[in-house]
Amino acid sequence: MSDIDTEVKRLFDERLGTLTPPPRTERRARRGLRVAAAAAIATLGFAGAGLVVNVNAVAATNGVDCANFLTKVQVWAQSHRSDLAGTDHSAAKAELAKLVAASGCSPHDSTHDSTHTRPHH
Amino acid sequence: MAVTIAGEPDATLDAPAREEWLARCETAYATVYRALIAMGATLDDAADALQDAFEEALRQRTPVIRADGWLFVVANRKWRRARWRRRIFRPLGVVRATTGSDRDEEIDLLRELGRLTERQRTVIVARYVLGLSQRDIGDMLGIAPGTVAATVHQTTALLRERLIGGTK
Repeated sequence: MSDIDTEVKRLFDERLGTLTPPPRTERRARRGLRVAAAAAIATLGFAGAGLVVNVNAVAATNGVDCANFLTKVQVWAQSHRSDLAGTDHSAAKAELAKLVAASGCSPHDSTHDSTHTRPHH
Repeated sequence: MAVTIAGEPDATLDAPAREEWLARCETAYATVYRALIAMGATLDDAADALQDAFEEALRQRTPVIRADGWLFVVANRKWRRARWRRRIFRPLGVVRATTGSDRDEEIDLLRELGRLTERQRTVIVARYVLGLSQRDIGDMLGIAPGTVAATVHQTTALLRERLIGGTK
């Protein structure tokens, strides 16, 4: 004797028989994940671009805008360290001055106009 | 829940066997989709879980005897995990508002299935929707065939009483 109740089976068939799965396409959740990943990458990109702009701005302020990017980052880091509370400001500033001096940029470079080709007098 | 209904664990699928395995999964696709709905998944969740299970089927390297049972167990596991993830990341109020779907009001069978225990529901869906034998269900869930038989009997009587009224 079968353990299947024909009337209960008929209920199952009636309720579920009309349901057909959608065609196998990309998962919705994966699409959502992709959008989230794109948003995260865009945010990182914007944050990175902002950081680069800030590094260049701080470098220009300290007169090392002619230096390579690594030096600019060091100046940026040193500049922020000297701003921190609880640090030895004079030592940090001395370190910053040393970096600026080692960069080889002249004080003029900080106000240098890139379109300007003639030497200053 | 153990994913068994497997063949020889040490054997690997060669190309024709692999094609045959995927064809069997394709055939079982619609039935397993309905089984997931019967388990309580929404239409979208069932489609997603099944899609994930099918992707796992593509990576399957060892033979499996019952493709429908395998696909059901894997998809059911994936659906439950996804449901838990959503519950963790969603505020409780939102979860409460969305878990009781309008469909429950319309379809008595699904509402009654939702009132069963997880094991009762899994066993009855495997028996009535997938058409697995008691032995296959026992293998699939890692429980004794006698327990499966008793669960099928009790749950069928329960559903019959609630949906049709009276006993057979």
